[in-house]
Amino acid sequence: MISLKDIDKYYDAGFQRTFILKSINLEIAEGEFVSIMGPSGAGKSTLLNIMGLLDEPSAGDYSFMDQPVSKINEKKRAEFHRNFVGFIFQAFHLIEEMTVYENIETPLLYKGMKSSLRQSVVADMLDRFHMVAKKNLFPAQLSGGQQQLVAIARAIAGSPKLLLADEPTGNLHSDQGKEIMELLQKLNNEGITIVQVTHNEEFARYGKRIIRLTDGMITSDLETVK
Amino acid sequence: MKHRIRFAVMNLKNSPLTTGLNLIGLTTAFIAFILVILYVWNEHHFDCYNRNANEIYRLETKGPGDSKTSVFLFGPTGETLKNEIPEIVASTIYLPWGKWDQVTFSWESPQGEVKSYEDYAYSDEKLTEIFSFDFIHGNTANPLAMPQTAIISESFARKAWGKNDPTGRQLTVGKSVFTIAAVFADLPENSVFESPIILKLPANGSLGESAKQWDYSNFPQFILVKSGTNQKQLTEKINNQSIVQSKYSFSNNGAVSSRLIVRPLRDLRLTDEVSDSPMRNSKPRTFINTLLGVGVLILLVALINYINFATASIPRRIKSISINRMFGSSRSYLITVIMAETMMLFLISSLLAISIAYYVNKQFAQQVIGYVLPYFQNYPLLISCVIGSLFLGAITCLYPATYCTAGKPMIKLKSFNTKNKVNFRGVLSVSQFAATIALIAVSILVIKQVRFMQETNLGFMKDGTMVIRMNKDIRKNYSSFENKLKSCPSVKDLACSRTVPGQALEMHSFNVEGKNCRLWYWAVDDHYIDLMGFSIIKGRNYLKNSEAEKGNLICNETAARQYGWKLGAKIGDGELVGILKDFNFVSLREKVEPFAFWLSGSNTSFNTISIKLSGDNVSQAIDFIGKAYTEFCPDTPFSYFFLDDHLKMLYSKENQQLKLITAFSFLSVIVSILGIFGLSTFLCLSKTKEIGIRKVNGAKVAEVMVMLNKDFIKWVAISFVIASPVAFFIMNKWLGNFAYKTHLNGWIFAVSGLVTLGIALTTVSWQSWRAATRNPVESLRYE
Repeated sequence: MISLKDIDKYYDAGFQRTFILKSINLEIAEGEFVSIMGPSGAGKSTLLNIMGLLDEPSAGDYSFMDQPVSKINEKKRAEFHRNFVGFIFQAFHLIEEMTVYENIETPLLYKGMKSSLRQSVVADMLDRFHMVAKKNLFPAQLSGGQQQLVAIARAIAGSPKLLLADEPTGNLHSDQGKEIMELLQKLNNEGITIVQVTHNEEFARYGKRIIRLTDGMITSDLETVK
Repeated sequence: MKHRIRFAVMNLKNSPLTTGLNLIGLTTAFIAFILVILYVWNEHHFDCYNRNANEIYRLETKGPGDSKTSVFLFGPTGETLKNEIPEIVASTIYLPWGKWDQVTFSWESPQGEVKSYEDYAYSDEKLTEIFSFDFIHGNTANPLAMPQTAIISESFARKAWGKNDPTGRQLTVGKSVFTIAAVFADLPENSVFESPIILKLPANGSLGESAKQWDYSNFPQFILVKSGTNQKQLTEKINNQSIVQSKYSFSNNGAVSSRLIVRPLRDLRLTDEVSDSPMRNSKPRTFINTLLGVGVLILLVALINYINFATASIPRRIKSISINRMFGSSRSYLITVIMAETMMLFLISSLLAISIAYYVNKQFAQQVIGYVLPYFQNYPLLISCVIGSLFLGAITCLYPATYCTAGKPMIKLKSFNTKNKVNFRGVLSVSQFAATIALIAVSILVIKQVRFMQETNLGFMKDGTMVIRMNKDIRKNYSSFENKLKSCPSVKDLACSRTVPGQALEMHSFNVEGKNCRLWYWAVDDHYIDLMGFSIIKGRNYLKNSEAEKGNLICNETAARQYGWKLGAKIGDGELVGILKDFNFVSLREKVEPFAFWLSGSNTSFNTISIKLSGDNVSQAIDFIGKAYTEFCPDTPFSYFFLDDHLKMLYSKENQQLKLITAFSFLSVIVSILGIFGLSTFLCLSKTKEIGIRKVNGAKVAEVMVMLNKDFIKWVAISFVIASPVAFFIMNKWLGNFAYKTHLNGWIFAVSGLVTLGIALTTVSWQSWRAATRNPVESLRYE
């Protein structure tokens, strides 16, 4: 599904070229659950951003579902985001001014879903995460774990094929974190490809494959040993 | 579509400070702009209500050596031209005689006989053919066909006879009786005809007779031409016409003569080529254009505010914009949401502005510009303003919108290149400050000039001078009247003259040694010059009680210089016995023109009596004089005015300009302050984290405040450097309208710069003090 060939990401400042990612070669098939680990500044988030088409690689090729997407135009990119990818972040990044219901509804608006269909999808999500009673609350009124749940609901409401998670449990304590990881595993079993970035060894093992990144290069790519 | 609006409304509601400030700023600016536009439009469309407007011209004459034209022509000119030149369809005389010769009007009303002074004009039956009058009563086909007929305005009809149809009623004008033939609906404010009463020019009598002769250039005239007539060719034809050539030549061999010109109706209001006369209600074009400039400036300042606020709130918005983009919203979608926000704001502001401007116009327009602007009648203008505002909104949000949505959609938590942002913002702030500085400087100058004109020595003593009208009863018994008045202790002295400074004047042409000399010209008695304190610099004043002296002239320096007159020269019926220091008999806008007093032997030449009062017991003096007046002429209502008040009215135009410019400067300063306030607030907000960190590292509150204020001082300094030359240029041009001007001092600029700096520093200091004294813990809580 994801095919990264010789991906480089660098910034030029003056005469110096700083590499964030160097010669990344990576294949991820559909249905996998991959964890990316590494020390701070290794380039994990950047890699995730490139995978999610939030950022462009400076060199190299990226194919998604056998379509070359390294340099695509704005319109196609928006379509990609609507139909194939959902994001989850460490800081949740919910829109503070909208209610839980509206936050979950947002991606569906961009898909052009009709109002009645939207309502049923959102209701479904709320039900699944046991948040029906909270649907009119604002993010500021929810706990960290609940906010992340909303974020996940938002991310999967549009039935994406790929879920990209950047330290999803970073702001949660271990119990909440475990809940989230269980959830992600369940989603993966249902067929969604998941790539997560994490610092936590224990949570990384929820993934079936662990890729370690150091100084912008892949140092290991192994199956998880349970 | 619906969602974009929903998002837009949500965004507007979520930043109440920005929305509120923008709303106030934009509404204020729109109010100012709408009023200015209406005013300018109205001024440019004077007399356009006439259905024949494009084919009507006013005849004017320009003598050789005259810098301006005169509207006063020989009576038969128009008719002659019509007969000789096929392109001219009709001509008419319109003489606003009420400005020269005040006459008592009387009529029978249900309450009995009413007497009063009214403004009136003389004309002929062609007037209603050429100009559009909307008749509501009476003979509408040709109302002034019969002699001794009059047409009156609706307001006057209502005043005199209530709501009934007054046609057929009698109006006594002095000694003549006129019959009301028709009533016309009040003419729009922007019309060259001001008189509510228009009388048919009598065939007999002094005025009527003089109208038929080629000796009295008293009569303003208008012509109606065939459509498609070329103005230049028409002018040539007129001047080549033989009768005109002979009558308007002033030299023996006809080589030197005046030229006739035709002025299109639509140019009458704004032209400045015509000598001041009651026919002309002039507003220099420069003023109108300046006002338009000020209106546009205010609008610009409000727009700059908006852009400033928008760019300042970008950091906050970027996050939610990035999130939306991540979930597949396209750039165009987000841009349209931002556009919807802006356009909604602009729409609401413009609608609010239209409503508020309506009330401002109703309440204040009369005092400030002298008439209430026609408001909803100009609905096309209002509608274009609303549409224009939407268009403006779309353009204004373009920069912030594209900036927000540019680049890749990853969540930009770290700020983009702050250097670029600040520079653009710096440019906007500088423009804002510069506009404020310029406007304040211009206002100060206008105030200075008006004060200067009101206080400057005009060359005679205007204070304590009461002016009353002469009439035939007083003329008959003048010496007893004079003695009666002198018996009042407050009356110092009195003298007679044809008119007084600031009132309608007459010109006369003398043929002196073959040269045609035209000048302004007054009859006076032998002690008027002493009474008013004119200073004679050469020759002598009039000898008192001298028969031989009668008919002699005393002219002003300009006349002597321009026409080369020397003492003893024979002019007209007398000789030149003295030369006066130039004095201002019209407003200080105009250069002094050639002028002469002539000593009249008979008091029928005089229309006014000027009475010098000592400062004490003025009201008692007025009572005394009033009683004496009524005693001598019981049929005439007593009216008077004080010369200095009257002269102040000459500067009514400048006063209006002053009030208008000051009002608008005030408005623009408010809008600027809003902008500066907003800027400083956002600046401090965006530096919250930095301030917190600095404080944690030991910075004192004062140091933090200095850091924030420094930027603003720099911006104000730059704006000062930019604004001053521009303001200087504009101010110089404006002063060029006046023959007598005040000085353009440096302190004007200094004051405006300091005021602006003060405003900036106060707002920034307040905001920065708040930001600096906040607990660092709170500032550092973000992310």
